[in-house]
Amino acid sequence: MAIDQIKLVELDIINKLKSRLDAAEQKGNDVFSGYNIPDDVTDNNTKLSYALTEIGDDQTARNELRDKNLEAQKNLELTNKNIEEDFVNMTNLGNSRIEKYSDKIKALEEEYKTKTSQDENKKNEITSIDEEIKALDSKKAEIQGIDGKGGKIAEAKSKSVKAKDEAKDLAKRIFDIEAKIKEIDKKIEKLNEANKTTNDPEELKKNAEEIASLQGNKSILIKDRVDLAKQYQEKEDEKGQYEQNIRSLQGELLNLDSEIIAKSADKNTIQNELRLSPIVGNELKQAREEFESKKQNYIDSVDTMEKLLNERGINVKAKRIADEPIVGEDESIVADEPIIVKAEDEPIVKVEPIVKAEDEPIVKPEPKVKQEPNKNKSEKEIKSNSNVAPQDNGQYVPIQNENLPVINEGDKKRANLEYVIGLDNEGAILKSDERLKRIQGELGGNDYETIAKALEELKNSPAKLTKTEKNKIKNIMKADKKSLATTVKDMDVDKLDEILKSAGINMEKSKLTSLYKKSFEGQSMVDRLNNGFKEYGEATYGILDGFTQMSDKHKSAWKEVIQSYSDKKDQMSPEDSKNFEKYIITPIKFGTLQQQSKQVCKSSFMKFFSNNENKNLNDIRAAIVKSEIPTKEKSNTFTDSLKDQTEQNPPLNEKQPEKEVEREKEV
Amino acid sequence: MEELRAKLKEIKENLNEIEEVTEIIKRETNILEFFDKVNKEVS
Repeated sequence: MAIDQIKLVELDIINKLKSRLDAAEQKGNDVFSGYNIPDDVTDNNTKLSYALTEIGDDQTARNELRDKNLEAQKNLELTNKNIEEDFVNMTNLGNSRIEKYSDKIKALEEEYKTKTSQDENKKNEITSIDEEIKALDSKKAEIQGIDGKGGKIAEAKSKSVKAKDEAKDLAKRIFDIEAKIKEIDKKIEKLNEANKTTNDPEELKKNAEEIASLQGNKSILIKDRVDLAKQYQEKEDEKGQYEQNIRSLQGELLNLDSEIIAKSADKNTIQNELRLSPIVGNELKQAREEFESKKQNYIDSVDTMEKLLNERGINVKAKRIADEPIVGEDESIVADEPIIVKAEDEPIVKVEPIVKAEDEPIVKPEPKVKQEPNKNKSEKEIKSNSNVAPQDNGQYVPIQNENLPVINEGDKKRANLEYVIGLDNEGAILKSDERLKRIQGELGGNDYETIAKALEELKNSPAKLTKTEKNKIKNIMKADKKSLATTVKDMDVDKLDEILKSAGINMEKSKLTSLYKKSFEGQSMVDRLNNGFKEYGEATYGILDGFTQMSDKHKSAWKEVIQSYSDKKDQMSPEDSKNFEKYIITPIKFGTLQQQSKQVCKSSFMKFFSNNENKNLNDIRAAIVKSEIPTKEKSNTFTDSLKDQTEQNPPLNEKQPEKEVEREKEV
Repeated sequence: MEELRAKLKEIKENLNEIEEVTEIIKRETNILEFFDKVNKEVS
């Protein structure tokens, strides 16, 4: 198979696995949706800790988490067969890559070893080149001299100049002779002219003798001129020869320079090799170390997974890769051929996966003991609390006030909890035995023991619950929390748009999408929102963590929805109004609580505010006041009560009503 | 030596191919361990 094809196959395997793992991590992450986990927690172990803390000893909730976990695995098809295939694929791929890089590094180490063994030769070669360059430099010096003085070229130039000067001198002498000859010729011509005009024999004789003398001199001069011309030519030739010598020497000089440059280049190359040798050696060592480290990490990861799979009943075994000696590090070691981890030939014993949702006994949540009103309860007690119904066993449960709508089971449970938490109609704390009596009547089994213990510990400071205590109480709220999360989860952008349009609010698409994302999108956000609802409701217990942990943007978005609804509610269609009410407003609408619950809320809520300096709580209070929505039944809503209370009582951190202070003292 | 160095550089740049496999194995191991841990913690 061609290298490119191999890479494509590897890439395909890796991408498929990565996609599966991404999905698995997301599913694993989703297992914790619905729990009150801060947004900044990303580590699943930490999330698990939060979830376990929140769940506490609630077996039903534990079973739910386990079922979600098993379901996630089932959806991901994390069967033994798939896991085993992953293991085989990954070890084959990992081993193949280790083999590839092992071979490559080993080859380079061999190559390096070969090269460095020649280093001494290279040093000798450099010495040899140096000597050759020195000889060439000497030749250059012979030709061009040292520091521009002397040398063959200078000598030739000197001789050339001398020859040139001599030729010049000869030429001058030739010119002089020629001038004399011309002068003689003129004299002879003059005498010949004179002879034409005289018949005097004496004068003619004298002229003839003078002409003969002049011609004799001329002949001598001509002979001298010929001699000088010959000498001149010789000097010219001599000069030409010297100039030719100079050119020849200069050519030789250029050749020497080229040769020296070439030798120097060879020397530099060899020197560079020698300089790089320790550097590359070090880099090679680092690469080997890095490779060994990555290989070891790989082996460790294979070992860990192998152990895990064996524990899960998947009988796979991977061979260890044999350690290789590093070339040049220890010559005595004879390297074994690396044994690459491959899925062994031995048959793999297939076993049924341990994690198989259908095999796991699912512990069904035990239904809460539904308490029936006790008709035998004393009239006095019933009168003392019109919202509490006595039971057959002499214990109490709250009853519905027909004048106040109860939206869902969650509100009933909340109301029950408010009752059993042990506050009277005025929000004062009951004595512990009375409270425990109520708890015993309302809750059963482990829940009772847990809550009773928690409340017993809280008797002196109900508004200062610890996180664990809050979580214990929250567990009671689990059942309706889940259903609420489901209904909110059904919301989508179009639905929100439809609701808002019905309310006369035409939001831009981008703003609408942003609002939806902030408020509804994603399981975790839905849960946060849901928690936010619940925290409003649970404010009676001093639990406002959920809302205070919301981001400001989220709070703003949420308040915007509430405000928009308050402003436009009358323009909504009956169905949208109903949906909006059901999905969004109900959870924070305290007016739907029973009268007793409202009172409890009012008192505890204000007490909580009074005891808490957290500025975020002011926002929450303001949001709740803003969210006031008149009910059709015109009941006295909690927000009405809250407003009244706010008006009657000083704001946060200011003086509390005397009644509240007295209550604190009693506690 | 320059050629050797270039080859070495190429190898070093691609050594993460091994790491890539290791990470995938670790990721799958972690996921399996975590699912097991959740099962164990809630059982």
